[in-house]
This record gives sequence, C-alpha cells and structure tokens, in this order.
Amino acid sequence: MTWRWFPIRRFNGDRYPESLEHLLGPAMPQVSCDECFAKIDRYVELEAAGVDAATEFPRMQAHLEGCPACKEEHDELLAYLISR
Amino acid sequence: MSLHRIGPDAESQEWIARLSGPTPEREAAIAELLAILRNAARFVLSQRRSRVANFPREELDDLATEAAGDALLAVLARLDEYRGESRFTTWTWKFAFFEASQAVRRRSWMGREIPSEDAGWSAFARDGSPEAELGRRELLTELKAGMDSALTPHQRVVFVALALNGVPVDVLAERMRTTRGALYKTLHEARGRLRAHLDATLEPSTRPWHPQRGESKWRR
Repeated sequence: MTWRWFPIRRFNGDRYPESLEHLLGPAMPQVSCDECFAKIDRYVELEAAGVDAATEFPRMQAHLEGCPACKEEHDELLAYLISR
Repeated sequence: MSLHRIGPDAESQEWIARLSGPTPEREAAIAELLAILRNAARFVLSQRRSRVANFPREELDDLATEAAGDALLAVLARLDEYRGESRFTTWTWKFAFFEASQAVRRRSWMGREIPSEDAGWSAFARDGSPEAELGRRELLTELKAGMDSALTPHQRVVFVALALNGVPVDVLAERMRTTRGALYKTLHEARGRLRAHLDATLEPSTRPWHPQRGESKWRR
C-alpha cells in the first residue's frame, strides 16, 4: 500500500499545506483557457442538469481550480443558467 | 457522457436560421440577441457589486452595453463554430460573461501597480496557524530556492503576479501585451517546475508538517 500524507481532497498531488497547494495549482493534466472557453457552455448545462461534470471531465475541473478567471466566469454562467 | 452533443435543438436552429437569413429578419434577430447579451452582462456586473461599488452608475451601464456589443461581434464572427453542443443562448451568454468579466477586472485594476514580490510573500507568510510557522518558514525557503533555480525570469514574473499576488490574468495580459491563454500556460509550466523542485528536495521524513511528527494541522 502506498502511504499518502493527506487524503486527496481536490488535487491529484494534494500533499502540501493548502495555501501552498493554492499557489502550485492542480497537479494533474488540464485544458487550456481557450479549450475551457470552448467547452464551458456545455459543461455548465451538464452541471445544471445534475451531472457530476467535475468527475466526468477532470481536465476541465482541474483548469477551473487552477484558473481564477475561468472559475469566476464558470460560477457566474452556471448561476445565470440556473436562474433562468 | 461527452462534452459533445449531437446537434442544435429546434430553438437553436431557429436562431441560426434567423441570423443567417434575409436582412430584415437578420436585423431583428441581432437586436434581440443584443438585448439578451446586455442582460447577461448586467448580471455579471450585479454579481460583482463589491468590486464595482465605486463606479458611477452611468459607467456601469456603459460597461454592460460595451461588453454586450463586443460579445455580439464575437458571436457573429464565430457563428459557424456553433455546433449545437449547448443551447444557442447558453453558447452566446459565455461571450457576454467573458467580455463583462474582463471589463470589470481591467477597470478595477486601472491605475493600480502590479504588487511587488515582497508584498506577495508577506501576505503568504501571514496566512497560517502559529503551530505551522516552523514548517511554513522551511517551505518558503525551499519554494524561493525553487523559484531561483527552476524558473525562467518570465515564468517568475508571471508566477509572482498571478499566483502569489492574485493579479487577474487578463489584467496582466493587457499590461504584458500578450494573451490570457499564453500567460496561463506559462503559469502552469512554472507551477509544474516548482512542484517538481519541492517534491525532489523535500524528503517526506524531513518535512516539518509530516503527520507522524504531530504537525498535521495544516489541513482544516
């Protein structure tokens, strides 16, 4: 059995203090900002439909955790979609 | 499950037909779409009240109108890229959200200097529990060593601004005359190098926050 320092919560390589993990960003493969923009409309529609999109599309989720600008736009787009 | 869907639904097909149709119908569709985009842009501004609280009312209206106009141009220019993977309105909203978000972030940072590296470290050092202080100092020393040895000068500037100081990526992109995507790619590479440096230099048994040494309170 491989010993792990802390339970993995968000990031693949979540092994440092939270504030440092925030600086280092997700340790897993992720899409680019352009790919994120290209797919974000479909992604939020799946989320609004109750699909666990974060698990289904980990590369999108990793990008949203690492890129505050894309995350902010994602959160607001999802909120707007749900409010309609 | 896929991020791709088979094609546009009936309502989305109608939008495409109207926007590609004869002039009177197209103009009516464009006017309707502009109103939809303006509502989306206003929603973004309403979500960021704290950041736009000191903006004059007229300026907020101008920001929403301008963002909606820019979004409309982007939608029309990229209409042939729409594949029906989401509803047409959802697809168009993202352009309004992108433009409005960018406008707010840039306006909020207008006239502000990019913080120095020292300012960023000070804020980072204050963010933690007292019992973790020893480990934090050691970690910071190693992180700074990684920045000296593993990052290029450009990667360092980008990492300090975006990750350490929280400068919005599109604000930095504007000042460095580059794109948001290019900067995020640089940040991602810098982060990877720093993580590799820390993983290689900090052996588990020497890490001061090692749970078996009783200092596992880094986590909440």
